[in-house]
Amino acid sequence: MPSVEIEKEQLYGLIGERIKEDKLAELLGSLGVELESSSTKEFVIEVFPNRPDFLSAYGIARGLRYLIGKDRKIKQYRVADDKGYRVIVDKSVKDVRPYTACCIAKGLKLDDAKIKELIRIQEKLHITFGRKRKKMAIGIYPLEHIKLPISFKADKPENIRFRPLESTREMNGKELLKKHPAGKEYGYLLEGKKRFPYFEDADGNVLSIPPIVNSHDTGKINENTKEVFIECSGFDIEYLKRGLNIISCALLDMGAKIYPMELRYDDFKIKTPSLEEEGMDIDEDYVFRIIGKKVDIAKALLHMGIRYEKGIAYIPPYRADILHPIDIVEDVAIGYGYDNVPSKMPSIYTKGEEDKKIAFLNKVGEVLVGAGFIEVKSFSLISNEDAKRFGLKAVKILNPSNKDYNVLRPSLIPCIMKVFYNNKSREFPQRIFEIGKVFPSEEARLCIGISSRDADFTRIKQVLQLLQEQLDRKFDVEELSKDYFIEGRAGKVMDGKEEIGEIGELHPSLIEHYELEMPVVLMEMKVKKTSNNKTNITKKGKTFI
Amino acid sequence: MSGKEEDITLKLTSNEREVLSRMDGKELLSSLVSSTGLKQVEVMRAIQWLGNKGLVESKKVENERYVLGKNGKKALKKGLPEKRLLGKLGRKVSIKDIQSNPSNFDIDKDELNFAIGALRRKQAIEMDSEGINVTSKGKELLEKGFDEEDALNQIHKGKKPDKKILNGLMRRKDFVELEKEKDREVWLTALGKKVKGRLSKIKTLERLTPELIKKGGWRGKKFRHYDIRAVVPKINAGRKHFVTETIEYVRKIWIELGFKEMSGNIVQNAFWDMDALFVPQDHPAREMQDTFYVEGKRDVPSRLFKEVSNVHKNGGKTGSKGWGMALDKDISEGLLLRTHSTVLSAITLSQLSEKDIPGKYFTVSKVFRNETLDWKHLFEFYQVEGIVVAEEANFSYLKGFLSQFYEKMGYDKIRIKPAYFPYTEPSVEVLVYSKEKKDWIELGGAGIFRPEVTVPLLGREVPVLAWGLGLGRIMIPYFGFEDLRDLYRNDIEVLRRIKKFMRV
Repeated sequence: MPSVEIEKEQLYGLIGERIKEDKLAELLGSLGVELESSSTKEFVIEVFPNRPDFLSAYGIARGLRYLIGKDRKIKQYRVADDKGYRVIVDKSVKDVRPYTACCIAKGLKLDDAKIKELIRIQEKLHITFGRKRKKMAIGIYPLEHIKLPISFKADKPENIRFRPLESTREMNGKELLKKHPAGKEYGYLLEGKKRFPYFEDADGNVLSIPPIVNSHDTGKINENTKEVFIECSGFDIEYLKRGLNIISCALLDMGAKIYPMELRYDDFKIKTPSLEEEGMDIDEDYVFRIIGKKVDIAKALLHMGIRYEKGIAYIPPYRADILHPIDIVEDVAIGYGYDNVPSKMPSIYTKGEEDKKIAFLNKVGEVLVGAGFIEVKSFSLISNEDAKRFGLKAVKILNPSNKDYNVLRPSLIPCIMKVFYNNKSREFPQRIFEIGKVFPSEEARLCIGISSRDADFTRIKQVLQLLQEQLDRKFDVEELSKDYFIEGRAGKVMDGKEEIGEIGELHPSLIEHYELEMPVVLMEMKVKKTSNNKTNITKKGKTFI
Repeated sequence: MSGKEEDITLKLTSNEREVLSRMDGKELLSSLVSSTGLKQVEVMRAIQWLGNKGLVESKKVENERYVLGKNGKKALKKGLPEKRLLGKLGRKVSIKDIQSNPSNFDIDKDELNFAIGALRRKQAIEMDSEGINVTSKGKELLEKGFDEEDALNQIHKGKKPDKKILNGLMRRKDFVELEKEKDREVWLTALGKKVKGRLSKIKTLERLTPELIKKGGWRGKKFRHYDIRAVVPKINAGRKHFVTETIEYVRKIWIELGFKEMSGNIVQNAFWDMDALFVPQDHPAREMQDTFYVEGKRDVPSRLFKEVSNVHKNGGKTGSKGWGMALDKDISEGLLLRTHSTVLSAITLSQLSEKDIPGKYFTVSKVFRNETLDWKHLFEFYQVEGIVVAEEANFSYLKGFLSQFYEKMGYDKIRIKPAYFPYTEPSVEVLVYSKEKKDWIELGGAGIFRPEVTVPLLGREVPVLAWGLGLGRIMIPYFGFEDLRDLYRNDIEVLRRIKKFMRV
């Protein structure tokens, strides 16, 4: 989850009230964000990815003011009168980064704190809402160095020349990817593209190559900046509009005026941003039915900063997460208070029932526990080396984070052996078993291991016989030759004609490999509820299954 | 005889009786070992038990003992070297003569200088330019014998010789050594004396044997009284893994509440694990560092794929805006290790028909996250999953079911707070009040499935309550661990001894 660091004084200033920290933590929790930590100067607040509007001090303060009733009227965010600002989008961008949504902000009084805030919003939106600039990249430029109108174009990288941010010299698009830190970090987003997208002003100065970096000359804001050009670029115009709205509202909260821009695409034109609230029809019964209680929808939504009138919820422009009326239902529930929702039980009858396969495996476990075995539980992931040691091929994890766990276990035997290895210093005899899935079949298997001075084929076959009796099955054992068993002391376990497992005395070379000093006998078999064998040995004393 | 003495006498083990009967004044542990014929550890234990009963007292002692060294033993057998030399010095000889042929003088070369020095100190010889003379004192000494030889003899017999002579012998190489021996001195208390006196009057039987039963040999006899408070050896019993026991406990709760158990594959394609749950294909949780991917692909159900894809794109029939992105089939078919048990809920929903509604389903199953293994992260762990599919299902009932479950898990107080999951709305984080920690702990997520999830899977919008809860944070404090990895260490000793999961 993304988190934001917010200066305490700034937040208290924006709320207009000092709130005790434990109370603040409580309030943030009811807002759906979490106070992760608090130092002398700063709060660190975790924000769920559906609420990018909370990724700034202004967003958090806005939410809190509504929640605690400090703002009892919904603030209307409005753009200033259209001054005819335009961005011309050339069709050449279609194949690389087809869309942009832009605006101009004026009347900014940027002090250090506000510049920091603006850059922070940009960064946090890049990481979260922008999916590391892939889905949306944001550029902010001081307007005073730019001659309008602006164009959004694409060209061969070597033809785009500018001095990127914090660089001492001019580069072309190709060099940018190789030499500039931002180019190295985000270059992959343009890799293989014949043309790179770029913004250019009326004088032909390159403003930036999105989503990589701005120009140092025309794209660096400082405390003297009063007017900025903002663009969001990406692949889905609706998505970019939502992103631009979040920034625009934060700038409006900072005291700026937002001027719309007309975006002239090849085949259509639109004006951004549109800060009109979107009306959503809400069926009140639906809300009550989902919450399980009649509540005052308008009152609850006011706490969430949403205006509700005559069955319509007006979604503020910064809310990018409202996809369906169900999202409004959640806001009603949060605004009403999760704690205030009563806890009830339905009276409908349904039959409880355990899964028959799982129930059967539990019975198998009971037989073994009765015979004095200890159940162990291992991870489903093992190392490929462990699988190979027993001649097994295993399904590979494509992105393992640890080489000890890089394949799915094809057998439980390596798991059981690892347990013996880890218990060398424990009391003997050690009699253990594990029941679990193997891969790729995902069939359930039982593996039993005995390590003791007197562990031999008889001891392990006794267990097979016990299972045969109590599970009312008939198993046969046929000869088997495997490197890891002692020749002549190993067998296949047969259920009718199906080979369901193996049983034998572990070869001393393996005992040595696992640094053990006691003999080990093993049995591994498939365990399933149904048998292939019709002539079961039904007799008294079997388990009731 | 007082009751107490009889009681004590009845409780004596045969070893205690044996040791007690040999006690007389002060005894050493070492001598009791030889007198009883028991093993040292048996006598030791008997003394300890007798001590516990107040019959004996004992203290550690350190015995010093002088023993003959290699040369001391030789001197005892053959005589002191200076004595042997003196006996051969009949005529006047020069030192050179002796040196050139020591065996004639019954002496080793390396003993020679010391022997001459010793004889001179005793004034048994005189030396002049021509050689060595035996003095009259020397002759007398030969007749009377050397005190040192007497001393060696005494040491050999375990007695302590004259101190001055002993010191002289100690200075000689390998003659006499001082051995320190740890031992224990034991003596009877007043009570011990009384009990000892009655030993012969109160005989007890040890084990009740089949022979005693058959022959009635127990009649008229008393059995030794056991120390019933004593700790006895441990039993190594068979046992299910304590995590399995916990899971069985949890399963029972849901079955009691009328839930039907779900089961299914661990390896799933992204369609079921993510797409069907309205997780957008560019969601951060899908990234390599969060999800384990495995080689291979698995087909997606074609009709459902199309519907889910539409929902992602523009909401389909659900009335939602969707994510603005249709599904990429390649991504949907890719295999992964299920990241949550919610995938089983999605599959279950897709298999329900109208007659299965209302229905309640649960599973306790393994899920996987690509985490680095450390004290607070496992890459594989159990999740408690549940869904309630019913027309009348609502947020209040969600709170109700969660309260019921956690009450049975031992938590009286639960709270929910807002959270976010792509597939539920409203979404909640479930917290319970831990009496041990005196604080609220987060145990998992819950909510009501979004219409974007239920409409494609069920064919229409039916409220589905859902939860995916953790067990780790319940088990860790319950079993007294601090490290999540302790749950799967498979230390046999821990598995044998650890308490069971019980919340009654």
